[in-house]
Amino acid sequence: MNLQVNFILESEMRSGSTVSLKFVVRVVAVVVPVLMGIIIAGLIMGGRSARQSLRFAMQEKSQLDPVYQSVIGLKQELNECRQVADVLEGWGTSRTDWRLLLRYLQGVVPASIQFLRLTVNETIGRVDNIPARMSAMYLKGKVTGERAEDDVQLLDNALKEKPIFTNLFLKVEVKRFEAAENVADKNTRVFEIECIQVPKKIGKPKVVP
Amino acid sequence: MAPQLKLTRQMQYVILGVMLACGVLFAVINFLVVPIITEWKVNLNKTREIQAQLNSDRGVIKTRSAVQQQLNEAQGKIRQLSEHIPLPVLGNFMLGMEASIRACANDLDVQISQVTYQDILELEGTGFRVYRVRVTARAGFWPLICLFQNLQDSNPLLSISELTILPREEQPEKHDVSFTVSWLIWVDPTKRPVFLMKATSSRTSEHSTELKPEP
Repeated sequence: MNLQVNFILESEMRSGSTVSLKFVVRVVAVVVPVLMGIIIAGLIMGGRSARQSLRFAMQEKSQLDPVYQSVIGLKQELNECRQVADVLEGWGTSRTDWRLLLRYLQGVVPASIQFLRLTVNETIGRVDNIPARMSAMYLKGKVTGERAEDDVQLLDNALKEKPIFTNLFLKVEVKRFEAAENVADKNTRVFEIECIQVPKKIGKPKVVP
Repeated sequence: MAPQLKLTRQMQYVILGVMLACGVLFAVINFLVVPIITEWKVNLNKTREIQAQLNSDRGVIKTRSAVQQQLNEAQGKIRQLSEHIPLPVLGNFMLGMEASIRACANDLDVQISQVTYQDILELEGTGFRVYRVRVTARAGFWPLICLFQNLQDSNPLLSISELTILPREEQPEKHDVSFTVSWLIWVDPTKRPVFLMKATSSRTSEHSTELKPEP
């Protein structure tokens, strides 16, 4: 039987461990503030660097801004000039080529047909919110002979099908075909043809910068 | 019997120290670290935004010479075409227009009987108006086509519309013709684009130097 008698008071007891609590506390007391200091210093440095980058960026922006604004001004001026140029060009290119139209019209009219009136009306309207020329041609004529109907149909078909006219006219329609009044010859017919022209835009849509 | 919890003085110091350290740590994190990190983040984001803006600005700035060139081309085109836009002489457009119409009919078998003012149309949103005059004439079919051609060749901005051709019983080879001649004019000639005013004024000053009497 063994008997152990401990004569050391509790306050006098020493730990057998190589790392004492006191040592750990001292190490922590030094290391934690140092680490904190390093982290805070790093953060301050980083923050300062970010602030400096921002300052440089703002400085660069303030230097570039006048140049940028001048280019934006130029672009705006360019848009305005283009609009004016488009209207000027559009006005010129949307004109009816009378030489072409009248010459070819004369070429397709059968010999038996005599025009009583040729009228062209033009208005300036808007297509897709752009000013456009809208015009229509009205032909009134008389035709004599047994083939009166065929001749008017011939003219109508030519106006509808000849490439020169298909580019010009949107719609061609015989509006009237009837016996002429107060004419001795009972084979005389009066007709009216309406040719609606393709609307021609003056200018181009506005470009939003 | 309840266990007796008896802290030594040293342990009390340690606990006090730990509590103090926690307090300091909290204060440091709350009042130093967090504001620094927040500011850092804000600054970084702002910098990134500005950098992106700068990149796009640089892209725009790079196009400067191309834009300038396009602008010069557009202005050149306008300058060239605007020479065909009539300007009023003491507020009068008609005199010059009538003269130019009659000049186009000079060598043709066309009898122009009347040239009268018709109206002015608005071309909304374009800065231009259309000045229209009505022409009444007597002409054969081919001379009429030639007159139209001469008129349109004389001015690329002159257009013919509202045409009426009526045959004449007594003289079938000639027709009674009336048509409208339209010119594009500035809504307000004094508010033309600045570069046109400069060109006009420089031209005027050139003329004025040319016209100076010799000493």
